[in-house]
Order: sequence, then structure tokens, then C-alpha cells
Amino acid sequence: MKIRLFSPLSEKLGFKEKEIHLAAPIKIKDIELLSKVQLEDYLISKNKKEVVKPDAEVCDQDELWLLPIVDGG
Amino acid sequence: MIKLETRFYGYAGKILEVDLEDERFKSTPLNNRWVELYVGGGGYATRILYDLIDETIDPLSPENPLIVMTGPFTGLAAISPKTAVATRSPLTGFLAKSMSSGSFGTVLKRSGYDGVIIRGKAKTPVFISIINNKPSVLDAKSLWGKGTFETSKLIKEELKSSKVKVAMIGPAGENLVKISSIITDERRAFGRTGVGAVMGSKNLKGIAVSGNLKIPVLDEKKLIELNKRHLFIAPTTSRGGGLKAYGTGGGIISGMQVGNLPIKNWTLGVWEGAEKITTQTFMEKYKLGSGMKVCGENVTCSIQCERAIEMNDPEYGRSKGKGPEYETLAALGSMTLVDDIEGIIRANDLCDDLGLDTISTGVVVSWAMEAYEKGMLDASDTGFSLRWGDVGSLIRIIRMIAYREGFGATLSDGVKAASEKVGRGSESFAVHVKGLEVPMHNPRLYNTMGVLYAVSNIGASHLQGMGVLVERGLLLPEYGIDSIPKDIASKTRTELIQQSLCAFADSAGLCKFGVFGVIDFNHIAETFNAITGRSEDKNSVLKIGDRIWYLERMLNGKLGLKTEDDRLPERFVKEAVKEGPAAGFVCPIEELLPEFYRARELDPVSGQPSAQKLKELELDI
Repeated sequence: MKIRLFSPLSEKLGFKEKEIHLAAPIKIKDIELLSKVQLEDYLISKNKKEVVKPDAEVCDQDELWLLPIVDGG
Repeated sequence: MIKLETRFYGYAGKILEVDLEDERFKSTPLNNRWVELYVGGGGYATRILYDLIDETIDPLSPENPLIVMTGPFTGLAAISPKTAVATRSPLTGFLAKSMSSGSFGTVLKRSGYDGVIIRGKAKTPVFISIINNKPSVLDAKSLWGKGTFETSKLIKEELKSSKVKVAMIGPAGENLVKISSIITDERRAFGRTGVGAVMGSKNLKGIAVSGNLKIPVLDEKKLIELNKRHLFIAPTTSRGGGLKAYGTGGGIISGMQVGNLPIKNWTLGVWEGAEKITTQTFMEKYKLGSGMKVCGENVTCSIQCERAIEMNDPEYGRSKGKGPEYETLAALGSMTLVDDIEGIIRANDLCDDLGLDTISTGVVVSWAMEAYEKGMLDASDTGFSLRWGDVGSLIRIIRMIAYREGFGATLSDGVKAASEKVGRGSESFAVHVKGLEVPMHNPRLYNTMGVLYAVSNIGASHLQGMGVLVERGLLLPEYGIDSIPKDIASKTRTELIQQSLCAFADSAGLCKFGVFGVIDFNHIAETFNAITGRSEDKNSVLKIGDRIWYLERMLNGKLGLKTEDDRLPERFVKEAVKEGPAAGFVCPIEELLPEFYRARELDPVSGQPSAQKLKELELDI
């Protein structure tokens, strides 16, 4: 699966985009790569069309974006 | 600082009246009763307008007053830099009210006046200067035709002070462009409803203020304590922290993910370009890790949502200063499919320098691009191709709008007038309410915005009721809104409370970014009391907001408003996008509006409140 981060989280974790392999579906909060991230502080978008919670399940085909919680002007 | 003698805590205590016809000034004390009922800012200015205008007054005539008005919070409370401009709008024909941040209002108060009422028309271009209680009218012939960036520099030079704050028009206002703004020297804008054209119609280039008078507050110690608390809490909240980290423009990419972002004049739900124009991208590109700043010199704010940019682009040249915000990035970017961030920064600079509202400009250009694509316009109408995503055309047409050149003249009167002129069915995708172009929040998915746009007293505005924030989870538990509104009754309740709180904020001088999702209205009421000595609580603050909302509605009734003006554009009601989180949704406005009228106790035919309601709110004027 693909994980996309935005600044400054991308700077904190040292990558903007990374592909990881998931052998089986897993909860977002259990993804090791994101273990140091306070997931509740981000808007998590799944496959660019659905906003999900940290305990949502994802599989190898999915794409996750961790976005800042900002609602515009 | 010199302490000001005043009868009112939190106010300078008087208003300056200027007649440009014969350059006469009059200083009028604030009206006690009006301060009590309408607070200041937008509310007080609307009350002044109520007595001065009616349906016969042409918005661009000398008789239409232009009012600048601060509130008691302006420059005194934390995150409260707001100042109102009110007049009759040349764009809508109804109330024009536009709020600006920055230092202008704070310095106006320190110059000795809470507000300025400008009437008449100068014989030749002038600007008004108010320095420590001393007003004068100065020649501006050499400034006429200049952009706002140069004008502000020249006025400061002429007045020999870099501390002077200026609110001025560019060529768009001078050319009576109905989507023109008044821009401040800090690049903040009284952006909406065509107030720039009203200033231009008076041959008035700008207002310059300077002063060091100290505005008295009732309980300074308490106010400092409350301000400290507000400043501490604000960036620790998700809303305040998000704005601090990314500015409003960070909402582009997240806005698309939650179905809020308008794309291609509201016809698409997903767009690859969003990632290229969101603030995170230009923060990374221009290393803006610490690019946040306050919106004005004297502004006390711990959110600091402004993004300062320094760009030196081979194609677009140098840009230094305020970067584009969410509304601008969406209006000039996703609405037109322009994904060239440097091009958008250039277009934003141009709009500020020429004095154009970026929201209205983006909407009217995207309407023209759609009409061009559909063959309702061709190059013989426009003078050149006007295709989606063409940044060159966007920049070219912005100049033409400001100078009313060629096809730009058609767009300069706003999307309603342009679509009525072009016809050929283009009215169906002209996205406006009462003539004011719709801002960048999706009423198909966030239905409260549909009603709030439709019934707004100034036309489609996202700041006359921020229902989208509540629907996104920024609740108002102190008013009993402790879950996201799902049914019609709870949506209606959200709409009413949001409208009234926004009307109060516009009258007090509060920045809405520093309140909703940041701090509750118990705190705001306490701050109000510490400044003024009043005894308000969250409920009485809401009631004041109610009163001001109805006053605005009454003024619009006087200006000819009917219920058929409370309409939402067809595009939101009949057409859904096919992809993204908003796919398949339309706004059920016909179900929502009757409930709103019922809850607001408005007559379903006239749209006006009953005599009993007016008496209850002490509005039996």
C-alpha cells in the first residue's frame, strides 16, 4: 500500500511517499511506519475519497493520505 | 500614549463624518443606545445605514454613504483585529458588509475615532488622512491610476510616517468595477460586495490613519488575563493548530478529501492539481517552515494564519508578502483548473494590487471558461481563447477586468450581470446569491451552507454563518450543539446560531478563526464585559447577534429584498458531481428553507420579521 504525508509531518518522519507491503488487512493504527504519529491529529484519507478513523482497516491495494486538519478560510 | 477621554470603555467614543463635496468634517459622539443594542462594527454601521439609505439611492451615487466601523474588541481583545466597511452594494443592491483584518481598525481607533462615515463625491481624487484626532482631505490626483502597493508607499512618504495605516482602492475601484475591494497596506482586504467601487465613485483613493491614543478598558487586569488564556488555548486546538501550521490554504488538499473543495466551477469532485496548489506544497517548495505571521503590525494573535512568501520566478517575477489563502487558491486555482502555484501567486498579487476580490474574480472567470468550453462564447467575444487551466488567460483577464477592457468589461460587473448579458443559458451555471459570487465551501454536502448562502444578508458569504465548520465537527456545546447536525431541525438550529454569532463577531471586531473551534462564547462574553463594563453572558451575546441579523434583514427589506432573492444557484440544487466524497449529493434547499423561515419567524412572502418579533428584539425603529 501507498502512504503519502504532507509537511511538516513528512519532514518529521523523513519521507513524503512510501510503499509498504501488507500481507493481510490491518488497522491503520497498527501500521508500524506510523507508530510514532498521533493519528487523531490528522485527517486520514483512504483512496482519495473516504475519510477514515485510525482503527479503520486497510489492505495492500489501498492508498492513505495523512492530511492536516484545516478547513479553509 | 495619551489616554483618551471617553464615555465608553472599549471605544474611542466618536465617529467622524466627512462630506467630500465641500470637505467638511463633523465629529459625532457614539449613540449610547446604539452601542448597547448593536455594539459597533457591522451592527452599528448597519443601524447608521438604516436611517440614511433607501431603494432610491444609487449605490454609486454621492448619496450612498461609505462607513468604516470598528468594534469594542478591535485591537483590544486577543485575535480581534476586525473592522467593518458597510454601504449599499453596487453588486447586489442590498447591504454591503465586508470585514478586514490587520491593523487598520486598531490604528483608526487610536487616531481618535471608532468609525468614519463618508458622503458626497470629491471634485478631484483625494485621500482622507486622520492623524491623532486631526482629519484632513488631501490631494490624490498623482495617486489615481496607481496600484495599491505603490499607493500605500506614496501615502506613507507624503505623510512622512511609516506607521501610517492605509485602506485604499486600486484601478478596479477607480473604474467602478463591481467586484472591486478596498485593500489595506498590509494586504488585507475589505474584499467582498464591491465596496471598492463605492470608494471609487466618491473620487476617494483611500483613508490613512495614525494615532497613539490609548483606548480605555474597564478592567485591564482581567482583560490581560483573558487575553493570555485565549492566546494560550488557540494554537492547542485542532482548528487553531491546523491554521497555525498551514494557514487556511492547507484546506485545499484536505478540502478535496472531505468533498468541500470546488473544482471546475463546481462540476468535478476530484482533481489531481489540488496537491500542486495546496499550501503544504508551497511551504515545502519555498521552505516556509516558519512562514506564518500575524495579519498586521499591532495584531495580538497566537494562530498567525498568514503565510508570507518570497518568490522570484523566471516567468512571473518577484513576489514578496502575503501568500494566497484558501479562498483565493480555490477561486483562482481549482475553480479554473489552474494548477501552476507560481501563476496563482502572481494572479493573487495582481488582484490585491489592482484591488479586486479574489473570490468573485475566480468565480466570474471560471464561469467564462465554462461558457467558452460550451461554445456560448468564442474568441470573437473574448478576444482570445479562455480555456480551463490556462494561467496566461487568467492573468490577462484579471487586468482586463480591473481596467474594464474588452471582454473584461463584461466580467467586471460580476457573474450575475455577465451571465445575463451573455445569456444563451449561461445563467444556469452563474454561481451567485443575490449577485454575490459563491465562496469555496460545498453546500451540496454541507447543507447548512446552502441555507446560509441563500439567506445571507450580503449574498453568498461563508463568513455570515460558518455552518461547514459545525458539520465538520467544530461544535458549539455551549449552545447545545454537541453533535454534528444530521436532521433538518438540528441543521436549522445550527444555521440560526451561526448567523447570530457571526453578526456579533462582525460587530465586536472578533476574528472568526480565533473563535469557532478555538474558544467558547462564555470566554467571549467575559472579555466583552472586561472591556466595556457590560454584564453579558453567552445567551445575551447570542441575542445581540440575533438583533443585528434582523436589523440587516430589515435594511434589505427597505432596499427591496423579497423571498425570491433567497435562492441557491441551480448548480447546487440540480447537478451533482460524479466522483469524490460529494458524488451524487445535491442541496435539498426546498426542504430546508421553509424550516429556516419558520424558525426565524419570517413572513414567507415578504421575508420580513413580524412586528412582534421586532418589538421583542427592541428593533421597533
